[in-house]
Amino acid sequence: MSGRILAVESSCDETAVAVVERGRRIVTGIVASQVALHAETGGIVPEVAARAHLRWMIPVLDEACARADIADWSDLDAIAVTNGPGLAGSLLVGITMASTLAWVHGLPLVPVNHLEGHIYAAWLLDAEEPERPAPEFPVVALVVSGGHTFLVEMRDHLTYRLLGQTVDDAAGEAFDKVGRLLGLPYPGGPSIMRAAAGATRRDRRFPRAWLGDTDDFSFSGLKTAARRAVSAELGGPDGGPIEPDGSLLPEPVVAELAWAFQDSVVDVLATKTLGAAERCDARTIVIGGGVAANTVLRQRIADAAASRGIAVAVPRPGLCTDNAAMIGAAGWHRFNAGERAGRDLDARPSLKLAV
Amino acid sequence: MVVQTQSADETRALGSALAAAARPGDRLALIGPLGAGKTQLAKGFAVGLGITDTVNSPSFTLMAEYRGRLPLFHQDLYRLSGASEAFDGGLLDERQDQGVTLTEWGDRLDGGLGVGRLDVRFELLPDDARRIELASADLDRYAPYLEIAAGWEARARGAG
Repeated sequence: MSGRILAVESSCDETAVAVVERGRRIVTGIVASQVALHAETGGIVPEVAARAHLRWMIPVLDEACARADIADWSDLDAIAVTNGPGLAGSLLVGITMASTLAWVHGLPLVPVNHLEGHIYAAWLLDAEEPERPAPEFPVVALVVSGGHTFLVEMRDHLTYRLLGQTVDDAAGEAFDKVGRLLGLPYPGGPSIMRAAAGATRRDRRFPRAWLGDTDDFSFSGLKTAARRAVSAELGGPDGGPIEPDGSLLPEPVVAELAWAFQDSVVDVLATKTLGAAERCDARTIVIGGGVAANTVLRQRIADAAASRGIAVAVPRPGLCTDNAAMIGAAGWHRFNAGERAGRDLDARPSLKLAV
Repeated sequence: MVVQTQSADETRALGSALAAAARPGDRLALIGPLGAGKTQLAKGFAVGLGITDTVNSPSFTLMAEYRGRLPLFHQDLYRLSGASEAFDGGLLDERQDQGVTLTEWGDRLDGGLGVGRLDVRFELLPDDARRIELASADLDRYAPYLEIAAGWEARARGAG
């Protein structure tokens, strides 16, 4: 029993394999980022992604095994794999490889929900990183990515109570679409953050959708507000075009609008997360998912939590986006809870984390 | 058939009304620019099918599936550039014959959806108003939707 798990992730746009020890220490983590491939097409193209998974899966596995020095597979306790949610075709590439490895090497196969992976990324330690305590329960976790935006309460490992979720667009999707409206390059998250950092005017206020005192989110109205603002900036006395092209705007105006948009998203995400954490008497706030790489969001939540005596656990940016180490972290707890999948493990595209 | 809605609430209400016509195998292509109301119409449609789960945008997840009076397959081709990607990505499958498929950015499927579909085209009008046009080459199948839309528009004008 080495406490080592080999983990495989292929639910969306990243092909990734990692070896993680006792759910925390990353022995090795390889991500074949397909971002460069996607940038050419202006977005993640699933057909390209599915083929890329096939192309990358074995090289990524070989690299992970070499770096983790896996000569004897009996050094591993189990194989963990993402079985949902995600695209069926993409998930199947990872599942097929993981279940084959488990069968050939006589290891247990442990299915992991991609979304709990994003939460467990906060437990991870890099290979050389000094020990630090694990996040303490109760935890309130905010997962914010291109496909998902939700808040859950965890009173212990693997127990999730859904507090709220987006009723329309995910936060990362809003970043991407407003980035496009502003004529900024894909992916929209980093583009908007960069543009906003250069804003000299910081007094414009975009609307916030509070949705009463619920923990739900809505970002589609913000998309409309951004489009109107772009239109108004382009328009003369007769009003701007209904479908404006933000790439025609001067750079300072793009920066101002990017700042106002980001300010609204961060305000809503941080306020709701802090509110939920206080209500749940959380000892730790965990943030995960690609949007958690946004430094303004991280800082805003860290400051607000510090003043209330709540700890914050956020993975480094490289572990906020999709990776396999987070699947190894969550997989360790599922393995210890006795969860096993057979060779008939199937992809579950609509797998839910909590209700 | 052309309908106008004045708000996102009204677009959802229209979607909910249209769901009364839903039969297994129906395919609706929702076409229009960002923020035009495609997801709002889908949300209303889901309510009309008796679906209680939260329906949100599948732009990044590409497809979501819901259980109601009929299964609902909610797709979004925002990130795709052509039909072959949707076919290879597994976005069209035989289970959809048992349910209703709503495809946002359905125009990106080219002819991939076939002529047996209802096109719902959204146009932005000033303020929150939207012009929504329903059209189909397969009137045998989709006439009930057009009738509901006609009734809805007549009532809206009467009330206005």
